[in-house]
Amino acid sequence: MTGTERVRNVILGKPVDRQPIYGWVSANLSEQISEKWGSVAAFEDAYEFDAAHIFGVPDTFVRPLIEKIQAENEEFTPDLIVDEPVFTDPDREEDYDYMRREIAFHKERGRFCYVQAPGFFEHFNGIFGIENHLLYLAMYPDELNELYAKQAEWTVHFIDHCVAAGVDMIHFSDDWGSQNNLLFSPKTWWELIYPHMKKVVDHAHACGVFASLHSDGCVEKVVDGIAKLGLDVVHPWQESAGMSYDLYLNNYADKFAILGGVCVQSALGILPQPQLEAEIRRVFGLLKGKRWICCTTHFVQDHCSIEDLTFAYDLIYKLARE
Amino acid sequence: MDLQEISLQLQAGKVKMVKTLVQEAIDAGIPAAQILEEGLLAGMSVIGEKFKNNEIFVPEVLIAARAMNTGATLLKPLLASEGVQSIGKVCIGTVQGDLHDIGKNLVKMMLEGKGIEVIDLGTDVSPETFVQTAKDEGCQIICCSALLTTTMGVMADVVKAAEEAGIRDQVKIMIGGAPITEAFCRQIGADAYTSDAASAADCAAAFLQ
Repeated sequence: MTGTERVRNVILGKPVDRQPIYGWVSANLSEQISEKWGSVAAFEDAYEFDAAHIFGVPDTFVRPLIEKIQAENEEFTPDLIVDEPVFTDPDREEDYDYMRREIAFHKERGRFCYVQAPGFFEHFNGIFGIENHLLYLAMYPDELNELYAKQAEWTVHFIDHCVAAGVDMIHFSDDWGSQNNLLFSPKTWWELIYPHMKKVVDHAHACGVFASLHSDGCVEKVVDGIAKLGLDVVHPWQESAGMSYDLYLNNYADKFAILGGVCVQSALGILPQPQLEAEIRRVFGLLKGKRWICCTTHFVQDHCSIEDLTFAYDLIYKLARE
Repeated sequence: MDLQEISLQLQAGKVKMVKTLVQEAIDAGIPAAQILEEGLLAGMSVIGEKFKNNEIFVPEVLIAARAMNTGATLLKPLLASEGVQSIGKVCIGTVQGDLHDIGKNLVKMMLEGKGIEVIDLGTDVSPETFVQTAKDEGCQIICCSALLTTTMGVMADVVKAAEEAGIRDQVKIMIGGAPITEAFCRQIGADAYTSDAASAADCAAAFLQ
């Protein structure tokens, strides 16, 4: 089986020859990994990663216009941009060159390729700031609704380009959770997030690719909505933020697959190796054979030693094949 | 005039209405301390309790805090002239190497909602700055926030710096943030860990009693 076949089968709940493996190992540890392995790509090859997370989305916002409006106003609020052409043209072919090269590289290795797409809440945090954005959810719901609708329209075009480039899945990155609750109310989620997410998830499906979600934190109060969206994969299903595996296995394992299991907040880079081993074995004990792609819950943090990372992936490599 | 109306409007996040009602209360000759206590702080207390119980979410807290600040701005000079003291002083910041501030800001809002004076040191705050501020300003509590597992270790340095500066027995050190646990709090010798902003404010108020 190739990585693509393995991941596809897990998502669809079909049999696989072994549990698929992935990890967000670059970013913080690229230098250390390259020193030991020659490159991050060599590390990913050595552990036979089955998937590739591809970034490099074209910029969504017309930055000079945003900066001009920010400079002209004491407070940068949604009403100031709702009627402005703040979104870029998503159909500039050259903006997708990097993504196409990455897909070609990973497809040579048989990997399942997913591309990061901007989520609605997370993406606007970049221009409003998360605290202001949360406040504006209460103060400017109508304007945000319009802006999210425009972003959804942009994303539909973006998805078309990703599909043409050969991706297997569109991965919407949208952090909705804090450590013990949603950042905003389920009512806000259903009214302001769900309709737009539904549009882009449905479009991905109509194009014949999977759709996945990344949201850190505790999103338990909208998991039914996540299932109703028809998302195929959820990352990271953060157990350390109260998202229990029992909840998943009992209620949602027939709805979507999960990508995660190796927690960077409470295990990898945190626990001594004997406890880390016990933790990884515990997770494999719970999730192996299920709709689970073994992956880190986020980027491995820079306090994780290369020894601990290697130890973890040696074990994961072995357990996935046992 | 019914000060409970200020509390209710604050809970609803009605900034302009809170401002109008506080001004009306001032014009009616009600002491600023009473307006603060029975209007603004009463409202924030309800907000804090509802947030702690997961009945409301961050946006509702933020908009209520904005309403409180609008009212408090009107009261501030009057409180000073009436000689009203805060119940205590806290310095708060996100620890060195960490730029995340929403958790810290929520705690600050909740502390102010308890009538506590807060010195906000911002983000990326060194242990020395926490301790020097506590010394210079006479803070009874240092509150440290961290979102990252990479920066939570700085909290231990704050405890150590307070010991080395000879003020450890004069200040309580409270910690919080996504990766923080009760066990970590005990391990580094801090005085309290709380898992949410409202609980942090309750804990600080209890320390100051």
